[in-house]
Formats: sequence, structure tokens, C-alpha cells
Amino acid sequence: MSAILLAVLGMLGFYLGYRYYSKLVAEKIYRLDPNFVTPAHQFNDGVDFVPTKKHILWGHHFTSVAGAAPIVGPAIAVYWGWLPAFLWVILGTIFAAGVHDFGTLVISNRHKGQSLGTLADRIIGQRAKLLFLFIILLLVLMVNAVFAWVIAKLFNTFPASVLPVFIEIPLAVWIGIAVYRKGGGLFWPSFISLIIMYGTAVLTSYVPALSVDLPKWFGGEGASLLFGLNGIEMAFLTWIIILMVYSFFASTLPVWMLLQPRDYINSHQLIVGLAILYLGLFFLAPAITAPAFNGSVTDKSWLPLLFITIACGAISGFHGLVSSGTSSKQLDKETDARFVGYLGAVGEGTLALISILAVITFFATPADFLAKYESFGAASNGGLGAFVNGAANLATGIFIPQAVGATIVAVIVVSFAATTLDTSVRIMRYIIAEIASEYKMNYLTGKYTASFIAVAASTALVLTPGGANGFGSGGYHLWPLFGTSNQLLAGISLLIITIWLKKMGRNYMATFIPMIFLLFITIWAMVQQVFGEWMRGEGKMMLFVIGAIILVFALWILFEAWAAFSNRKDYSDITHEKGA
Amino acid sequence: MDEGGASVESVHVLLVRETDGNKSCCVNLSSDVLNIYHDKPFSERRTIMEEMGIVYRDLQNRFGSQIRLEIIDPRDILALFVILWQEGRRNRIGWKSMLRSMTRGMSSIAVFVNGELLAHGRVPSVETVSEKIMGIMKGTEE
Repeated sequence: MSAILLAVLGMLGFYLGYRYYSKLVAEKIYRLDPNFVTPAHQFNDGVDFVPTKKHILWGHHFTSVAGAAPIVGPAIAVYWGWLPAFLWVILGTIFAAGVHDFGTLVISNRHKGQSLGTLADRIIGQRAKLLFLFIILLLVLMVNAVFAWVIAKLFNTFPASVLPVFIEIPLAVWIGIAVYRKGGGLFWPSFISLIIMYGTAVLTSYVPALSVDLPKWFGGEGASLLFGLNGIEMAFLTWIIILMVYSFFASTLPVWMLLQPRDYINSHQLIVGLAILYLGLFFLAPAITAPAFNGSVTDKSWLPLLFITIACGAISGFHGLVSSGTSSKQLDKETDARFVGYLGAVGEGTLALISILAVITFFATPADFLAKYESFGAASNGGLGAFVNGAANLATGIFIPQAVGATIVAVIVVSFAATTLDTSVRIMRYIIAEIASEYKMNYLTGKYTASFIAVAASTALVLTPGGANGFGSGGYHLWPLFGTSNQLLAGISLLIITIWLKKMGRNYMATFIPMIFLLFITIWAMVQQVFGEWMRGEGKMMLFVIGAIILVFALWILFEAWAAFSNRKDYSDITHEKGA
Repeated sequence: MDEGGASVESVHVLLVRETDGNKSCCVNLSSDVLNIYHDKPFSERRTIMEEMGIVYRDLQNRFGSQIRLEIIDPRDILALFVILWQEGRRNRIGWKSMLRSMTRGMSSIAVFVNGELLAHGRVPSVETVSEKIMGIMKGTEE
């Protein structure tokens, strides 16, 4: 089967979802009113509240949510065959993510552009706000560990990507100084930085001496090093330590020095990445070689794991944080929410779709695919590598040599992941400092102390899980946990929208069904993992504890939903329904 | 209408400035997350946003519907280029000048009037922008 046909089918699904389902939701459920005075007009101050054209706002919204996660999850989930992953990405985007991202934008728009945390407090109660913050803390911890694992994996698999990625750091600092301290323009510094990074990627792809191949330097699998680690395990440990030391410093630097300039480099890279992949796909026109269903799976059933392995790309609770409180303050017309919110989710879906297509067209035969994806652990450990190689294969369609394509795609994924790591360690530092301040533990509020705690906790988490292939190979257990944290955040957002719709006397099934589905899947997956695998598993105590916490949170949301729907709630404080 | 086809109402003012918050999946420093922390990491950006907000409100009060006022974040590079391209075409700006405006104007702070770069690197005074707008209006009225 042609991959182009699958891409077209996927795009057609997204188009139909937008054309018909989102229209139905907009008109019959959210009942968008073109005459509603949006917060952007009501409070138009040219600072936070600014009426913005829908195409510009969509671009801002999409680039705020796009990153590495919608690539990684699908690349792992094709383990069960491409069809289940494809269907979940398409149907999840149409019926869950689109409605969620669109809904959070609408509800925030109807409540003066307030953020989800504030809305959780107002619509459900103080307890829900607390739950919301706990889930964010959990999500941030998972993000730290998961993205450190992703970067370490990519550095070990694609050592040619190390130098271009590390060159990005001084380049970003240079942009920061040139732009934010000397008042210079952004175009040339960011453009030159990209040229230097990709130029270095070309060099490292052809000159082995420029590859930072730690597994090889440490003697490979046959070596016996400190603590009995082999070369690959030692390389993994080294990368994790380097990444965490980097995160410590990055999270304590002023944002203008590293974090802000990275946004420009990443904006260019997102355009480059999508262009390489989709143009490559259409010019190369590869055939799908992976099986539609993987009949040889014996270890992990697709149900329920598929739905938490692919979170971003099918549905991501994090998008609600961007929709509410940020994009909602810039809506020119309420009817634009459909374009911005629903199509924002579709944009993320197209990233997930190309990730699936890159992997399932890479292997020469189905047997090669099955050899690489022999178990869920193997899929998790090798999925990202398969994506990078598959993407490089697509890049040959536009005459980019395979080796160079692999390095550039690895650099793009690592750049996204590293920005996420910088950000999440910083957020964790903030949360630790705020909690310490609240409980009068002032010795923990300093930025270095709080950052150290954040980094130490994340390091412990990423290094703890034991895997079939020794130390460091169990990090893949964290990916589904990250997925569930993200799904829980989506669950609570959908709950808030559902309660609001119920209060308004509207049909709330469009948000209620995805919410119940997400909670059901999350609880099922966590019960299965926590009690079936981690409770008695050697070295799985930390996974057990985190899984149990997620389970408690999922049950908590279910309890809140039950309380809300058993009509024991007073909704009288839900106001600001009408624009001024 | 003048020779270039621009009407009095069609003076386009584009204010370029960054918003607080960054871009990354699956967490970023915006809205709820920024509200958690007592300190504001993007305080410099915030100051610029507020300074640009003063220019925005003053221009709006002075010219109302006579101008089309827009704000864009320079990180939305494609949208920025499309807007400048459209305004350049509308106002018959040569492609070399357009390209120069685009590359110089892609800055953390910039102001464009009818596709022409008026200021970059720092927030201009309202008077500077107003004079430019009035100059264009006067030209089109004549």
C-alpha cells in the first residue's frame, strides 16, 4: 500500500472532522456567537488582550504546542501495527483532541480569558484546583525524566547529532546577547545559527572523528566498567548526568540568555522538519512495509496501552493550558475558536501522522519491522531511532543523503526535547520554591537549591527503572506514565467543559464521552501496570509509587465528575456567560 | 484613493513584540504555569509588552478606524513574512526594499507602517508613529 494514500486518507479524515464534526460542535454544542464580545475586544489593552486574525493566532497556537512528544509516542505505538496507531491518531484528533483544544478555548473565552486552573477553582471548587496543580507537578516530573531519556537515547544512537546540538547552546546565547542586550535584529543571527547547526550536521555525518560516540568510546556492550556497567550503559549514565547538569544551569540562567533564543531556532526547525518530511514523502512515494496488525505481540496488549502511548498527537491535556489563558485572550471573533483550537489539534495530528508514516515505510520487509519491534520494550527503545531513520529515508526524496538526513532529523528532535527539558526543570524549580515558601521552608526557596532538588528527583526517576537490556534500558516504562499524566490533564479539562455545558443546559456528550474514555483507559492501564507488573517487580518501586499516584488522581477526577453529575453542586457562581 | 490604491482608512500599522512565555511541548512557561510563581521570569518582555501596549492604545484612541492596527509575535515568522509581503504588494514597495524591511524588521521589537519599517530594536514614541501615519494620510488626501 502506498504511504501517500494513507497520508491522503489521514488528511481527508482531518478535513472531514474539521468541516463537519467541528461545525456541529461549534453550532449545536458550544453555540459560538459571531456577535459575542470576546475578551480581546472587551479588555483590549494591546498587552495581553489583543484581537488577532485567526490565521496568525492559529500559527502562534500551533507552534506553542508542537514538539517532540507527538513524534515519539506514535513511533513506539506502531508496535501493534500501523492501523491501530493510525486510527487512534485520526479518530483521537477528530473526536477528542479537537473538541478538547477547541472547548478549552471557548470556555476560557466565555470566562474573560481565565486560565484552566482558575476555571477549575471556580467551576468545580478549590479541591479541583489543587488536583490540577498536583497533576501539573506530576506531568513536569515525568517530562523531565522522559525527555532526558529521549535525548540520551538519540545521542547514543545518532552520535553525529551531538556536536550540532551542543553548538546550538553558544549560538542561542549569542542570539540572546545580540538581540536582547544589543537590540539587534533576529533574522540574520537565527538564520546563521541554523546554517551553522546544519552545516555541522553535514560535517559530523561524514567525518566519524566528529561524532561523539560515547558507547563506542566506552568499549561497547562487551566492556565492563564502573559498577559493572557495560559501554552502552555507561554512555547512557554519562549522558543523563551531562543533561541534568546542563538543565540545572539552563534553568537558573535568565530566560533571555538561552530559553528565549531557542524559540527562534526551533520555529525555523519546525518549518524545516515538516517541509523535509512531507515533501520527501510525496516525492519519494514509498510503500508501507510494516504490517497493519502485529499478530506476533504476546507481551503487551494494545488495549489499553495504545491510548496512553500516543498522548500528544491524539489528545494532550497540555494544549488546554495554551488555549485557555493565552490564545483565548487574542480571539477576534468567538467563531474563530473553531479554526484556532480545532485546527491546532489537527496540526499536532499531522506531526503524529508523519511520524507513523516515517516508521512504517522505513523497513525493507515486514520481517525486518518485526525483528526491530520484537517486544514492547524493544519498540520503546528503538521506536525513536526507527523514526529518525525513516524520516531520513523520506528526506532522500528531496535529495538529502540518508546519513545527513538522519543527523538533521535527530538534531531537530533533540532541540525540541532539550527546550522542553529546560522549561520543565525550570517549572519544577518554581513549584518547589512556591511550595517551600508556602510551608515556611525558606532554605528550599533559593533558585539553586530548588533547581538541585528538581534535577536530583528527575535523575533518580530516569535511572531507576530496570529494563530487559540492563541499566538505563527501563526508561521506556516512563513513556506511558508521561502519557497518562497528560491524559489526566485532558480529563480534568474535559470535565470542566462538560460541567459548564451541563450548567448551560446543552448536550455535553461530545466532551463527556472522551472524558470518560480517557479516565477509563487511564485507570485500566494503571491498575494493570501497578498491580500486575510493578507491585511485585524487582526494582520497580518508584514506578509502582508513581503509577499508584496517577491512579489516585484518576479516581479523584472520577469522584469530582460523579459529584458534579449527581446534582450536588451549586453552579450559581459560574458567571460571565455574556459578553459586555 | 491615491495612485497606489491606498485609501485613508487603509493605513496599516504593525507592532512587533514578543509575548511572555515560551514555546515547547508538553509544558511551557505560560498562563497557569507562570501564575504559580511569584517572580516573573519574563519581566523584560513584560516591560516591552506594556510599553508597546501604550503605543497601541494611544494610536487606537487617536486614529480609531482610520488605521488597521495589528500586533504580532516575531516568533510567528511565517505570519510576519506573509503580512509584510501583503502590505509591500498593497503599497507597491519594491522587492529589494521589502526584503530589507523584512530582514531588519524581524526583531524582538519593530514597528511597520504600510509595510515600511519605521523603528526596530526599541519601542518608538507614539509621536513618531503618529507623524508617519499622518504623513501618509496627508499624502493620500492630497
